[in-house]
Amino acid sequence: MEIKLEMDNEVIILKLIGSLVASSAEGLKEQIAKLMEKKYRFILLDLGKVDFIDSSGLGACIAIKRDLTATNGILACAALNENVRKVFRMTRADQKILVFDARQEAVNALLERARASRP
Amino acid sequence: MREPRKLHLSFEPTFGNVDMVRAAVGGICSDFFQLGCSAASVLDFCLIVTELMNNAVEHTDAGVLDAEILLSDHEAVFRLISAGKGFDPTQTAIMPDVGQDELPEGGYGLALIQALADDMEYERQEDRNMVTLRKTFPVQAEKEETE
Repeated sequence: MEIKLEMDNEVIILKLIGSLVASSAEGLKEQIAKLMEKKYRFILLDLGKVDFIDSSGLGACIAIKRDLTATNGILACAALNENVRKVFRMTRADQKILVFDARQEAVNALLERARASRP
Repeated sequence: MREPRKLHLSFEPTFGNVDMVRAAVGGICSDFFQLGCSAASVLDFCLIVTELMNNAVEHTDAGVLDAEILLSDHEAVFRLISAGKGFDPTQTAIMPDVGQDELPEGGYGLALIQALADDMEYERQEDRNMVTLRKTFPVQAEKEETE
C-alpha cells in the first residue's frame, strides 16, 4: 500500500492507495507515530483509493484514533468505498471514528476543530 | 451447468502471501461466476478467506499453509489446512462492544467470518486444523442487475 502525505494548515492528510490489510497496517501505524512525534494532531485518512480493508486494517484505524484522542487530537476518515464502509459499519467502527463521504468535507471539519483548539 | 473447478495452493504463512492468495481467489471467483471484480459477494468472500488466513498466520506453528478453492455452479468453498494446536473458529464470536469508551483494536476477524460466510466447518485431524468456508454466489441475480 502506498501512502502519500499532504498538508492543509494544521491538518495532515494521508492518502492511502491499495489495500489496508495485515501486511500494510503496521506501516501505517508507524507513519502516524512519526507524525505524532512531530506534534501533528489533526489527521485525515483519505481512503478514496483503498480498494479493500480487513480487520487488521480496521484495527490500525482504531489504534490511531485511540492514540490521537489521548493527545487531544482527532482522526477522520473520508471517501470510503462501499466495501470499506461495510466493514466499518459491521464492526460499528463508524460509530466511534469520524467518517466523511468527501475528503474536503473532512478537511473542513478538522480545520474547524483545529481552530477551536487553539489557545 | 459448469464443470466444478478445484485449485490447491501451498504457501508460507506470511501476510504478504495472504495478499497473493486473496488476489488469486478474487480473480478466480470473478471469472468463474462472471461477476465484476467489485461484486459484493466476491469481496465478501475475499474478506472471509483473508480473515481466516490472517488467523492462521498469527497462530500456526507450521511452515506452510494449504488452501483449497472449490468452485461449483453457485458456490465457492475455501478450505484452509494448518498444523498446530487446535483452535476451533466456529465457536461463536461476538463483534466487540461499541458501548465502551474505546473500541478494542482486535477481535473482529472471526465475527466478520461468521457474519459473512454462509457456512463454516472445523475439523481436526491428528495435528492439523481444517477449516472450510462456504459462500453462495447469486449468479442469476447479478446477471439480472446488469441486463
